Order: sequence, then C-alpha cells, then structure tokens
Amino acid sequence: MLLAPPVLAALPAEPCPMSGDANGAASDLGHVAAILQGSKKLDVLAVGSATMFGPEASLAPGTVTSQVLGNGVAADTSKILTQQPSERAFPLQMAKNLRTLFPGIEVQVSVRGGRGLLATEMLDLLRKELTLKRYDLVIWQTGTVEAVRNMPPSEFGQTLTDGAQAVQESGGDLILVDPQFSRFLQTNSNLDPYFQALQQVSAMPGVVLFHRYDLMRGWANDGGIDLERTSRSDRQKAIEVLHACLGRHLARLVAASARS
Amino acid sequence: MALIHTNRDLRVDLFRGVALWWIFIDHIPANWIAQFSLRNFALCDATEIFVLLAGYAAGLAYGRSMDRHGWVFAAADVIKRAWTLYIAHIFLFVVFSAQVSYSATALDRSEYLDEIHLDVLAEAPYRAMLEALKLSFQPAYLNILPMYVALLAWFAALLPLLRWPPVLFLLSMAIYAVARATGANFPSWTGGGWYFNPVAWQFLFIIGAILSYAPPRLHVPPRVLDAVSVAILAVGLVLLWVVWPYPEVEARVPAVATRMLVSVDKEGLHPMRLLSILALAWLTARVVPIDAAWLRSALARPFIVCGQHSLPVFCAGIFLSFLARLAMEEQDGWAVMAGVNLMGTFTLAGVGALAAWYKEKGRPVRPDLPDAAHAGNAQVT
Repeated sequence: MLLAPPVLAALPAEPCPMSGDANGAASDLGHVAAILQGSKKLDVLAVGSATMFGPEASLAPGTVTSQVLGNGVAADTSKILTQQPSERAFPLQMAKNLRTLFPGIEVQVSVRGGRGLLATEMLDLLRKELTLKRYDLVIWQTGTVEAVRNMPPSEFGQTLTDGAQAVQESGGDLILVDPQFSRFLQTNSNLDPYFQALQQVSAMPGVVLFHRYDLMRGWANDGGIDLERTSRSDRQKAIEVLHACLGRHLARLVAASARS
Repeated sequence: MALIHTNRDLRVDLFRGVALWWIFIDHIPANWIAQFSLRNFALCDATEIFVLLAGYAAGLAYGRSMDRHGWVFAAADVIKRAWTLYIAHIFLFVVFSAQVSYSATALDRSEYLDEIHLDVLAEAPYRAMLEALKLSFQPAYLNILPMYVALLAWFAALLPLLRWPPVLFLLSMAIYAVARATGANFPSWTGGGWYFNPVAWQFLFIIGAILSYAPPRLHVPPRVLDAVSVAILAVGLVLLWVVWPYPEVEARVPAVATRMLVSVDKEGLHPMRLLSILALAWLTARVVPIDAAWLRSALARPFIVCGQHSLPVFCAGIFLSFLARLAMEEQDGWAVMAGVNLMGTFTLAGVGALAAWYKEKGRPVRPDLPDAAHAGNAQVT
C-alpha cells in the first residue's frame, strides 16, 4: 500500500505559532474576570466528547458513551462512564497556564463527558453537575458528533442555548469549543450549520467561542502541528503537544478577559 | 470485441462516468484536484448529476419495457435492479467497515471510526448490523446507494404515471414540497435522518424519467431557456466565489436573500441545487450534440465505459478514495497526491473495462444499429 517508507517527520519546531488573536474579544467573561482579579479560587467544569480527555484516546469498545445507542431508553446520565482525563488534556493544561499567569490563584477543573456524546446528553450532564456544585467557568466542547451523525442543526442550536441559559442562571461564564480541525470532516461532512449555531449562541452575554477549528487549521497550514499528517510513531507526542498548545491559547483567552 | 456500446446516448454515459470520477476525487480529503470538481463552480455536484441521469436512464428503459409488457413486468425489473443495488450496498458496507476499522487499528487512529460514524459499530455491533440492513445506519461515504434503492422502489410504484407526465410531475413536486416544508425524512438509527432525503431527491429522479420518456414540448424559444440557465448558474457562481467566502460581502446582501440562501442544503435538495442541475443539464444538452465526434475519442472512452457500468465503478471508487486518504496521510507531498489520483483514475477505468468485458464475453458479435439511437440506453446500469 505504501509507495515508500513513511517519512518519520519530526514534530515541528514551532507547533502552534501565537498568531494574532483569533478569538476576538473576551470581555464577556465578566464573572471569571472578577475572580481572576480578586485572586480567589476558580472552579471550572469541562464537558465534552473524545477530544476533551487527552492523548490516551482508546479504540477499545466501551469507550463510546453515548446513550443514544440504547434501545429507546431515555438517556441515563448516571450510566455515562466518566473517563478520567489525562493530566495533559487541554482543560487541565489551561489550568496550569492560568496558575502561572495569575500567581496565587487556585484553579480546579472537573472534566465530564465521553466519546461519542451528543450535545443533548451533555446538556443533561451539565444540568446535573450545576445542581451539585457552583462553577465559575464552564467549558463546553461539542459539535463534532452532531456533524458526523447528521443531526438537525436547529436542535443543536437550541440545546446550546438551553445550556448557555443554565450556566448563566448558575452564575458562571461559558466558553464554547468548536470541533477539531480535520480535513476529512471538512470534505465529507457539512460543518457550516453547526459552526453557525455555535457562533450564534456565543453572541449571548457571558458566552465566548474558542475557535479551536480555525486555530488548528492555521497551525496545520503554517507548518505547525498537523495531526492528520503525523506518522504513527509520533502521534501520541503530537496529541500531547496539541493539547498543550490549546491549553495555552485557552488560558490566554481567559486571561484577556481579566485584563479588559 | 467492443467494450463500449455505441448505439446509445453516449452523453449520458460520459457524464455519469465523470460524476463517478468526481465522487472518487471529492471523497479524498485535501485533494488539490478536487478544487476543479463541479461543486466549486455550481450549486450542485456529482450526486445531482448521478440522480438525474439515473432517472433519465430508468425512464427510458423501464418506460419502454412497460409499454411493451405492462406495469408488473417493468416494475419487477425495477425492483430487481433495486435489489442488486441493495446487495452491492451491503457488500460495500462490509468491505468499507473492514477497511476503515483495520486502518484505525493498524495506524492507531480512533478518529477514523469517529469521523466516519463507524464508532457505533464497535459499540453495538449486533444492533449496528441490523440497522445497516434496514438502511438506517449509513456511515459516511455509504449514503448514495441507499437513496438510490429507495428511489427505484418509489419509481416502481409510480411507473404507470409516466403516461401522464403532468400528473406525475405535480405529484412528485408536491411530495418534494412536503419534504422541504416539514423536513420529513426516512429515520436513521442515531437520529439524524438519511443523509440524502429520498422524499426530496425523488423529485430530481422523476424529472429525469419524464425528460427521457416523455420529453415536454418547449413553449418558449430555446434561447430564453439558455438565458435563464446561465442566470441560475451565474447566481450560483457569485454565491460560491464572492458571497460566502467573504463575510463582509455577505453582510451587504439584502436580508431577504440571505435568509433564502442561508443553507443551500444537499440533504433536502434545496431548490437552488435543483435549478442548478437542471440548468446545467439544459446547457450541456444544447452545447453537446448527441452525435458529437469527441464522444468517441480516446479521452472520452474511459469515462464512457465507467458510466456504462456505474455500480462496480462506484463501489471501487469508494474503496479507493479511502485508500488514497491513507496514502496521503502516511506521506504528504505532491508526488503522492498526483500518484493516488492517477492510480485511482486508471483503476476506476480498469474496473469499468473489466465489467464491460465480463458482460461482453460469450455474446455473439452484432453490429450496433445506428438508428436506434436510444435503444442502447435500455440497458440501464
């Protein structure tokens, strides 16, 4: 199948250039800004699908946690396996970066969700978590599974709006994270309606969109980190680097809110 | 032995072959040559071409058969064809799932499974098999054949109405309107509906059938239709090249227009897509005469042979496009990209030629009668 031995490309020296602020104004994270300026404790809840959890993505069965596969039984969020996120997962990397940027602040991150989860299931999970504890910042990564499964974008938009309202009522801020850049998804799925939904909801007060897709596309095109073009032996390392980069940029986004 | 039947409208075969080639090209991510495929120039792509030409061929072949032998006879042949397509789809499903899951395991990329919607196959294999057989589980790449099966089944039921084309047209349009207004679609296992909504797409198929079986008389001079078609395609070009890529321009377009065009969706065959393919078909028929000499040239022959044996070529194309993706991910670069495109194209032509040889071998050699200009299209592929 291969025409020549695979080129073992070393990881790029500059994996994620800090280009201009691709994320726009972060002045909407008022609550988070207050906490950061007051140097108290930041409680973060991260909800997402496979890419939320870090490099150790598993191929083994049992890791797709979506309850849609049940036989018509309503989603039971207690049955969703809570994977343990890797230390290198980007929400935890963000926390690490924030602690460096704001010495003295305590950042605690709880990660929930799992591979293959739909936004509607994540919403149930989110609501349950918000009743258990008060969070200052919610990071919600979603959209990929909807695009792959061809779910109606209008329902996706509604789910996002409901989630944003739930977060607002609990007093926290929301950062939405869009899908990971993938040339395959770009070619074979219709991502635009889901991006539009994310964009629309991020216009609500207290909600910001972290443009992971655009960031990663820029990196891939500029010779930076590019998961699809990384050979097998380098992949684990590449995913770690990617998560570190995303964590840095996400922390930058949050930090910008404190300064504006 | 002539591998290509020439006693038919070769344009249909040629453009079907081109559509099949584009399907192969377009399924390869980040394929440079894909920027020249139809979907970057018009609001329609290979799928629309395929469905229109399929309807066209079906109307001719089965309509003729119905005239001679009656509805039941012809409908039985339609169902038989649908059955063949169904079996091919299930076979392709098995082969493709094996290809993707083997690659995912060997290359340690679980996202192959996730992005193609095959992750659920590992999670609930028994249920997934059942849903695949019911055509409600359609991984990426495997959504055209199920639609085609559904369209043929529908066509078998509607065959007699071919004799009253206005009735058939209005009925089909009404159902299309319902599909667009209500979003009614066939159910899919994980809740999203079929990727290609047969309730909407049947309209294009039926239009193709009517155009071949009972071509309507033109009530306006052809030049008027030329102008309208060019205008439709021009709007499409402007949207694709000027409006959508530049949000600043899009902001200037009047709100009424943007609301209408906010999602020219493929799933439900948005009217702009329908009009674009019809405009394209009209202009092509006007520009390319049925007896154009270049249709018999060496360059046209690979496409024609693919178009005449579209099922094996389509299945091979799906398999090859994923293989091409693997090759390009393994080693980036122009050489590999050019290589996979060329090898893939030659392989597709080879599959078409092989299918033609299988069909021809053992047949008594007969000269193709030139005056039965459309009779050859009776062998619908």
